[in-house]
Amino acid sequence: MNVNETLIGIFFRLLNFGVLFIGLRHLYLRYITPNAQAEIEADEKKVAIMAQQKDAYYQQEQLVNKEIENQREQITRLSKTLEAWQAAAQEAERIHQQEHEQLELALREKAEVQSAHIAQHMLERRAIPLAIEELEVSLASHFAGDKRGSEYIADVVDHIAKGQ
Amino acid sequence: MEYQIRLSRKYAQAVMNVFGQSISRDDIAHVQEIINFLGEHKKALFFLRLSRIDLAVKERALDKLFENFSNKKPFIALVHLLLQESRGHLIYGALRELVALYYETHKIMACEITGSHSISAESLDKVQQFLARQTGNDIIYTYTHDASLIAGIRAQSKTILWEHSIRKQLRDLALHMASEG
Repeated sequence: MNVNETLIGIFFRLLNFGVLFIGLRHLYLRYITPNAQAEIEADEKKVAIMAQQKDAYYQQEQLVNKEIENQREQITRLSKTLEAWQAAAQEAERIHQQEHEQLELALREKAEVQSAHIAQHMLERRAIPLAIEELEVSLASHFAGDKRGSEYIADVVDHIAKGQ
Repeated sequence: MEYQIRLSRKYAQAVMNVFGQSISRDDIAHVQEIINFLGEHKKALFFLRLSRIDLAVKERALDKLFENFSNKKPFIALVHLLLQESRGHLIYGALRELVALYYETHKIMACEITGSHSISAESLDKVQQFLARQTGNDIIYTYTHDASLIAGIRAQSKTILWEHSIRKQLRDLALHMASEG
């Protein structure tokens, strides 16, 4: 084996290797590196978004927890109010029942009084015309003669003549 | 009917405007008698609607109604005017309105006094004076008997009703008891 050939061969091999390296590097930088950067940037964005989402979820969780707490408090308050209402409703029902009984009693008494009034009214309706009729017959008989009737008229005339 | 009354009143008003001063109360009393007669014999006016009877015949027939009047001129004028305008059938209404206008003008009120029993002329005069005092009008009256009053007197005109009788007292008593009951 020739030493020169070996050196030249090594030199060209190294040159080839250098050219190949530069070419590969150029290719790497030209085609692969930009995609990788884009992916890294995308990944970073995703990470940022996810971090933001995490923060948002965290805040939402806080709000939900707070809401749950509020609702629990509200349920407690409503339960107390409901109990109060139930008590009030029972009291109102009791009073209503009592009033109803009193009203029924009053109505019954009123109906009895009205029945009595109606009976009395019916009696009066029949009795008054009969009484008036009897009175009329009696008075007609009393004034049947000319004497009493004329005296009555004379009294009336005297009465009005005096301007009374 | 309402139209006829209005028309009759216009004729009566015309006569009053022209002859009002010369019409006496006696004449009005006679007119009232004629009205009463025509009211009871309305069929007597039927011939006034017949065109076949001459106007002169109708005038002579109606003139006879007023022949006893001291001053028949206003009434004859009214009759002739109505006949000339073919409204002879309005004579009854026109005379009634004439009497009403005369009464209004001279503040006279026509009353019907009703008694349960016979009333002396003196008593009727007292009632007449009483009504005159109460109404401020001269009162002329007709008397009728009505036994349904039982005992007492009633005076009634177009605008007033005054009654003092047993019948009224019974009526008031019935009303009072009905309202009390």
